[in-house]
Amino acid sequence: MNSLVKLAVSSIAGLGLGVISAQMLIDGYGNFFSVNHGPWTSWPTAGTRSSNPYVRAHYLVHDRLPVSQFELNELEARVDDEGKQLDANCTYVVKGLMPKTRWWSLYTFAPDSNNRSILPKRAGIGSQQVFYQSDGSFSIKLSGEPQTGNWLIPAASHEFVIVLRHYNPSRSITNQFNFENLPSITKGKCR
Amino acid sequence: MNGKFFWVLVTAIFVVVGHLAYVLFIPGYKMANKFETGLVAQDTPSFIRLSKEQTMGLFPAEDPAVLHAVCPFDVSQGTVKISVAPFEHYWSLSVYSQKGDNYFSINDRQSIDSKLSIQIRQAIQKDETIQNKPRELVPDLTVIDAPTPKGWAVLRFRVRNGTSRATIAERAKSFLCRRDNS
Repeated sequence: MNSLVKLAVSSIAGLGLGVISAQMLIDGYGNFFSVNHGPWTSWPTAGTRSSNPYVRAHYLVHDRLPVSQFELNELEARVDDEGKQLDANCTYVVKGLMPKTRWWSLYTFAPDSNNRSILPKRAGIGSQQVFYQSDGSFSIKLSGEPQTGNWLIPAASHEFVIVLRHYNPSRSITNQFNFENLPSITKGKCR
Repeated sequence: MNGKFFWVLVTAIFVVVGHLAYVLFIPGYKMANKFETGLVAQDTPSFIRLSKEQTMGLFPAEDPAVLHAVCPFDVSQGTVKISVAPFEHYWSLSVYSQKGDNYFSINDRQSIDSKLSIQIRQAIQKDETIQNKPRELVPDLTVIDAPTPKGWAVLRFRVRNGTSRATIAERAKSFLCRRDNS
């Protein structure tokens, strides 16, 4: 009896730890399969033959499909410039310039399916919808409350992820992963 | 063997089993599950143009600026042909295995005159189809060997606003995914 209890405890603890450690690697902790560029993270082998089960799982577990880097280059941000988790109850400003690409889009999703809200009308914004500054830079506000200028509503009730997609990126982006001038993510007021 | 060490070892084995099972099987299971959903399950392959709501149901974390059309196929029942007619806007085609591996990708700029014909087959079907035909009968045909019999072809179109979503959905009807009887 004592052995059965020990077996039950060790199996529950072991399987739980196994799933948690797998989820952490899939989410990019430790950067074993991903690359960080400030608050942004890329998964360079996504959608390629050299991809591995962790990279594949990173996309599929969150109901996304991995796409070849030659088709699009994708960056994700789970944190702001200060490394704090993004929260749909706060306002954020994504500001900067974009690398050379055919077109780009920026949108959000909730990593936890229980935290997903109904897709808001302003769920995403693209390179042709954004109002640019005279120097070519842009500024997008992410907030659940109405904002002036470029405004997106996070598609989540709490924690969320910002996705920046460069469609048909130039070869310098796909070959060198040179993301030195990626947009900043600054936290504003919280509700 | 020391009793404490034995149970630590058993727990470690469960950690490895849980870890590998989650990484290797859960993503494939999720994809296979989507394949069987009423939204996309069908007897003969064809492109299903997903509305915004359907996309949210199938791939809730995908880009809302993109219109998706999916064609679930099973090459164990015969080869599948995908034809893309000339289309002046951005499109891309990605082919996935049932486990979610992206084994083929192309877009409008990579294809000749923005049109394309591809045939997806199982490796075993090789000798029965293309190789037994004179080459001139299958011009401009890209042949892909599918790593798994079941899979998905996913078309992506850029959508700029609500009006163009409807227009593009209509135009996307010229993109065909069907059983290859040629």
